[in-house]
Amino acid sequence: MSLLRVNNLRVVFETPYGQVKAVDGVSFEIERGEVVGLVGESGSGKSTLGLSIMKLLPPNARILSGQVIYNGVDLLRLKEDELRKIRGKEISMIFQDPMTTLNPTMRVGEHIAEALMYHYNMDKEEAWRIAKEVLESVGIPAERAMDYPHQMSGGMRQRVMIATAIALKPKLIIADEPTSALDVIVQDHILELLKDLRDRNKASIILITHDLSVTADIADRVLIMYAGRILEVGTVEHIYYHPHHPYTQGLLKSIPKLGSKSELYIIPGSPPDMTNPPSGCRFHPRCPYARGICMKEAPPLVKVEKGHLVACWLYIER
Amino acid sequence: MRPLVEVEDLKKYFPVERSFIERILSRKRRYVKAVDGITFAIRRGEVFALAGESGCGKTTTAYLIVRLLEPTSGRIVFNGRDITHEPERSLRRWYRRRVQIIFQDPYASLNPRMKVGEAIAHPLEIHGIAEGKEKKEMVLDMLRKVGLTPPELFYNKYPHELSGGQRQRVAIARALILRPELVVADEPTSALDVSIRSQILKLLLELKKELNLTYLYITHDLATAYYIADRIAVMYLGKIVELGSVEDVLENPLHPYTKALLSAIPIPDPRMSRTRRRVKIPGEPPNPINPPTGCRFHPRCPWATKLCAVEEPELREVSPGHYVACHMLK
Repeated sequence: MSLLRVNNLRVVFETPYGQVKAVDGVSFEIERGEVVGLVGESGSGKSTLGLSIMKLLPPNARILSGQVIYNGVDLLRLKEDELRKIRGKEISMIFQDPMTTLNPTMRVGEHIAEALMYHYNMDKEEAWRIAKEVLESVGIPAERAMDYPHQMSGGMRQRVMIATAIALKPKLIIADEPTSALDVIVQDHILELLKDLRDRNKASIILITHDLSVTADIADRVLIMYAGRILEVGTVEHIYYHPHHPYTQGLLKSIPKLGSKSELYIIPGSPPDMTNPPSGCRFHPRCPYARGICMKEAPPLVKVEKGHLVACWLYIER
Repeated sequence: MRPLVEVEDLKKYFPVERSFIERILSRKRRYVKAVDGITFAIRRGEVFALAGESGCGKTTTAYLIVRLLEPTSGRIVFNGRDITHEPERSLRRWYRRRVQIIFQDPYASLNPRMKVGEAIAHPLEIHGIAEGKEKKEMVLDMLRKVGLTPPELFYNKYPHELSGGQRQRVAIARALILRPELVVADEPTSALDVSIRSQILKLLLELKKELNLTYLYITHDLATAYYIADRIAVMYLGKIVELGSVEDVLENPLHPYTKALLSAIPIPDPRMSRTRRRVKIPGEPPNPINPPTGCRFHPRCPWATKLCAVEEPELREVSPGHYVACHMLK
């Protein structure tokens, strides 16, 4: 049985410009110890999807339908106090910017100790001892546990975020652009840390990113999202060496690669305005293969080989 | 031929604000040594990339060359003329027309109350180059050049009606309307969506050819630098550690920092990414207020010796056109 299963999730935002279908019928699952990359550009719905799993959506968001099954329980039906027992302990989250997620008035060790005291009824001394251990496990010397977030560098703050996220040994970690604000060398350190976490704690990780290079390094499977929908799902082998969807193919050909000066592919146009998304397949206005049906009807996600699904009319016989 | 831009031992120190108590105790002012003695030249018609991590001084260098900042010391020579301390009034007469800048974030660099046409026309008015119908024609022509067609439609739009990629095209049009010789592009694709980045890179290369431009391209992304640039300088903590053609520096890096940087950049290829050999370095760049003695990289360097902690290495030519600042390369 999968650790987490998302079934046909639909989330909308009510905005002054109308309703935005941020997540529009998304289904996927994640196995124990698996790293799934959720890749998309701005407005693809990748972050909303991550927040929906934890039911941390802003007030103007509404979940229209769908299920998030974790250990046989639909998280979307749980009450706030039941959810609180799962957040942090079973499923935790790492955000892009640690400066806005860490409390500036709390010592970094306190972030962790507090969670231990809440979830395990630990006494203060015990909680601080473990907090220091967890900080050391992510490469922060125990004596820095008394620092405030502003006394640390960006990379160290992100390590603190990770330490807070893993302190309770959650089975699932949702990391939303955890390295996008960091320089490449620090990014590399953080990715190593996430890999280590997967190996040591057998944790599953949903890695949300705009960067196909990051998922290439760490993911087992990749979901390509566009305008609220999944366009392609597969193992890294499928996605990087046999991409089927024109969007995936285009993205991969448009990234500059070291050692290559050959001309980059260009995906024309821009990601759609989500208050007024295109009809049919939402990628059709930018797709070189678009034809009549693409404008009228959204293609279903169909299997092209085992574990490899694509939502594109090119692969559907009619 | 003389290079378009010559930079000699350029320095920029920013004073650190002292607290009230420090001032009472008349504690000595401290400085962030953002750029601390760099020398390089930009050849006419080339794309010269300045690369490095945040805080290395690459953007400060860009601002010094555009003279949005005044250097602390050193020299900047443009077309044979020293502009290091040239006063603003004189800069405006000639330099500002010939050197333009494109900023990273097109959401911040465009005035939200100015229509696209007005924003692009603004430099023409400031420099009294054209007015009326002629001015509008020039703007429409520029809009066409940057791919915002039909230009009449975009002329009357406001920035909020445009996507990120379209805004960056407006910023490019505004920079190029004066037909500058040098364009400084400060991470022009970093704030854009992945599918838009290649559009902007391609546009920059096309415009360079069409308008005979020279680019100083500031970036933290070495793969993009490889794609767009002819030569590159890698900076670390206010210093250039390696300089040369992109082929030399990025295919055959010699400085341990360049090696580490290169081996940390993620590559969109799972097999390569998971099997390549890495040069690992610990930690993060130290505080530029008190940079390490000797070679600034020595506390993190896998090769460091006693000499490195004492003596600062010079940028030396190790093969024709390839310069490295490292004691270990003799």
